[in-house]
Amino acid sequence: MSALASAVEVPVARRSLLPVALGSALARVILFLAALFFIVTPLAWIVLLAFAGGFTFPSLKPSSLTLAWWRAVFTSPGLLHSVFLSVTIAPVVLVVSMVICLPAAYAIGRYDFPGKRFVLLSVFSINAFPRISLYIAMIPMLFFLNLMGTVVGVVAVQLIGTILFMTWIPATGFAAIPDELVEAARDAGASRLQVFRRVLFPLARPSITIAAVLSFLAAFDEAQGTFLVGAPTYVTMPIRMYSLVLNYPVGVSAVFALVLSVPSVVLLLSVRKQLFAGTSSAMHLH
Amino acid sequence: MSTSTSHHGSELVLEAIGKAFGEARAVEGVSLTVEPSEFVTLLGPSGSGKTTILRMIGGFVAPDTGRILIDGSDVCDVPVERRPTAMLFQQLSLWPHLSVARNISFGLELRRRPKQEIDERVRELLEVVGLSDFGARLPSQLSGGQQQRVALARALALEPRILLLDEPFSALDTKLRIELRTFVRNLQREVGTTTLLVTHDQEEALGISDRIVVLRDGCVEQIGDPTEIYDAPRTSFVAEFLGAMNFLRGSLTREGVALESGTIVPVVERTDGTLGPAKIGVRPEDVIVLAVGAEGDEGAGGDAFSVEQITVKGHYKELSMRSGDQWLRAYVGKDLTTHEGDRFRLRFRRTHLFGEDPQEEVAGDSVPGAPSGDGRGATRVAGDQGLLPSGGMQLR
Amino acid sequence: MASLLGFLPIAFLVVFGGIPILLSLLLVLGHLGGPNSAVSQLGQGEISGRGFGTLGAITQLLENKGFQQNVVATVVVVLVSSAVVLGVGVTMTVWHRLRPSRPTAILQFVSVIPLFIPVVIASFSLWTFWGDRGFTNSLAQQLGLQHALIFSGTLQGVVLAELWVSLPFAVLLLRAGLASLSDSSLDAARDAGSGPFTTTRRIILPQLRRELTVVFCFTAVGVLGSFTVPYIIGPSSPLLLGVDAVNTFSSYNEPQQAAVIGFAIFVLAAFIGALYAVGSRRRRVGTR
Repeated sequence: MSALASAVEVPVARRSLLPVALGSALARVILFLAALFFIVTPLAWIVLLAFAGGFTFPSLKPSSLTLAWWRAVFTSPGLLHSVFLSVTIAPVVLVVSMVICLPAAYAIGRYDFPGKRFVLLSVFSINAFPRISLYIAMIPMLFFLNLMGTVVGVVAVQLIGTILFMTWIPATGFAAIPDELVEAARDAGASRLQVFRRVLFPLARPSITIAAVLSFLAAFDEAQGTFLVGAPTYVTMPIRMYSLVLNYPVGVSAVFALVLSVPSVVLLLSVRKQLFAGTSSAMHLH
Repeated sequence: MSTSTSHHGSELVLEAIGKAFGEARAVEGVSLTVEPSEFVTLLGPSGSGKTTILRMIGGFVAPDTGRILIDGSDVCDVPVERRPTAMLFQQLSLWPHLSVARNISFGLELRRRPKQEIDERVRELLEVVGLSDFGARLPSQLSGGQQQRVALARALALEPRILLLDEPFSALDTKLRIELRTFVRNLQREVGTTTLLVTHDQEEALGISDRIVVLRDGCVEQIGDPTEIYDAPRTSFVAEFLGAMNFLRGSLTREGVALESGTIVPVVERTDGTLGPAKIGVRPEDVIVLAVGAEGDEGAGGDAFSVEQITVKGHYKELSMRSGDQWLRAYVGKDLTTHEGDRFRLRFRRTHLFGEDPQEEVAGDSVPGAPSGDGRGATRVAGDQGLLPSGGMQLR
Repeated sequence: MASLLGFLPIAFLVVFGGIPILLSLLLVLGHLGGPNSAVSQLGQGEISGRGFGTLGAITQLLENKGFQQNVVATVVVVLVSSAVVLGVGVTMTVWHRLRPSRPTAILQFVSVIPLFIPVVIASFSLWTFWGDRGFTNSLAQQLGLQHALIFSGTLQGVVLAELWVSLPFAVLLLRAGLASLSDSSLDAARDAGSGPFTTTRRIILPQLRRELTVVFCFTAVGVLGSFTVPYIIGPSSPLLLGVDAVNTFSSYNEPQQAAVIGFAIFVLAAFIGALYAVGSRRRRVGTR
């Protein structure tokens, strides 16, 4: 104890019991490496597997690098068909979602109407439910409407995951536009349509873009609902992933996984700033 | 006040401390000795390093160079939690989820004091800061001034040897600010804790400090008590920062400083013999205006200044005056009748001499003699001294 | 007009959400006719009832030993996962808030990476990584351990995978909550003598009750309703209820049973909902 400490009359607070000081460089480095290992290495492993030739257990690196797996994926009709399905169905879902939700987002963002709270509550509560239960519950009705194993059924199921994004995010975007801008446009002689086209839509475009990205990915990456409804007729990429590991060598699965990840990574990286801001504020709603 | 709230402060010594953040040198070569129970203010504009110095004393920032000694012991190894310092912050720092009483007792609870002792102390402190009935309230239910008083009580609960105040009044409105700082000062006198205040408000510094440390760009410009700092500023920065100051350009000749307006301000004693460009500083309240042709006018020389603008400031008026391209502000009594365009000659009650080059500030100053008619002017160009005796100074 | 537009998504949800739930409930209660006849034709071993219905389907499932095990496993995994996510999330974010440094800053970024990866891919990656011939086992072998560090095909693996997938949300939310605490209030705690653990316990966490509740409950509901992760990484017994439900439908062709399991999941979610309601109540005044 330094002379200083003993000279002080006030009894000092008890020292922490932990032997390794939290602020110590060692503890930080350990945590850092552990977290890095936990989160990043599995992904790096997949990238490695996608190019690995002659990988025998338990070695930690392959004996050679190869593009054979890539060739295998891009020449396999079954796998390519899955890619085709994913790439065509997801945009359809996106468009339908926009048609259904954007008008509502506009209404919610700029008007007060009876039942508005109910609409918002319902839209939010979808995400509060265990998703799988919802899909399971949909099955009797889909049978009744003869939608099992049909594209319409798949679209309907994937649509559910997009409603929240496509309604709420553009709604906040529309709501954030100051009334003065609209009034000024009307003042200058613009019609309602012109106001929408030239003022409201451009200003809300960023949030609509984000919503579109998130909705597209929600549809593209959707696995469980599509599995229930679409398999074995419509095998989109995520569903193909389920069975890949059983039927194909791990290299092929790795390549397919990378290909499936590309839209996600690329799109989300491009909008990540708004994404983080949106997520934080979204959760502050509660 | 009960004796349990009074204790004594420690001596604080800063030995050439310095700190850089990346490229920027926030504090450089600052040395200071604070006596026990002294109230010292660190005064300077933003970026002068004053808050950094305070935080180094508190332990929140470690100095790159130099030492900090409390009661003679180097505290560099002592973390924030264990230093005998307590800080009052600029932003509201009470814990919003704890009541006022819990906020104050927090530190005592950490130290496992017996409950009775804690309750007693909290009650005492609340009384001291005038918030006896507020114990159960939450910070959100208190005004800004009340919150700072609770923060003060919280700081005092730990019986700190050194109290650090980081612009704690700046977020409050003026009247409250004055009230609170007087209160803090009086409390500090009773309790006896060594105190350092950081502020950019020179009025605050002049009002309550034992001594003031004027800082600029991380370096000490001058250390002294309020009178010294105000009446004998060593550099033009200090002169300008505390109170208002007019600067008149001229050149130092054998007879004195020849101002551009033609008047010559005599300089009696000079230790530094360089002639050449010089600056005279004169405070607006030290300017005497004499109507052209009025009694006493013959004593004033040089061109007359004309009034460009008149601002009424309550109990006095401020005149903006001009001669050629030399501007000057003067304070006159509110009863003086004057209009824009009126012309006056000037006399200076007291002036300060500065070198033209801001890097080499040499200060000359004078003690006021009789306000008029003395005829003797003296300015000694000084090194590190404070006030120097000399006669009055006036225009011839 | 606005009302009309506003209710479009609601109409969709009613058709594809509300009505299905209703029909499903009817199916559970034994009403095999009407709209449910199409799905009932598919099913085997269905239990039908008249009038109000029967609880037969429900009781049959509740008495099933396998199902009981699944329920226990699910509840345990849900609670453990949520607690782990909360613990890791809090540790990472609070550490950075109190003692920021380069490594902790990089971690804030790294911990959000999983957000960019589709869940299927994440599950596949983790399954391969921790699997029989994966990296961790290879590493173990190199270190002389036999058949160690294999998490694929275990409930522990499911917990780890759910952690991997849920961490970004937790970190983002906690980070936002921590940002709203003033620097000077944390400095003041330190000044008063409070070390990092004490400050976390007595100053930070009490102010984050809402965020902690949201993270815990949302993670819990997410894990409860998850299918992909336990399907790919989990063991074949016991099953998490999500997988159980899908298997019951797809593999065993028992849609009615599947529906019952679906509702069981809803019921468990209701408990989490109650927890959420309690946790996000307005703070009561702390008095001495």
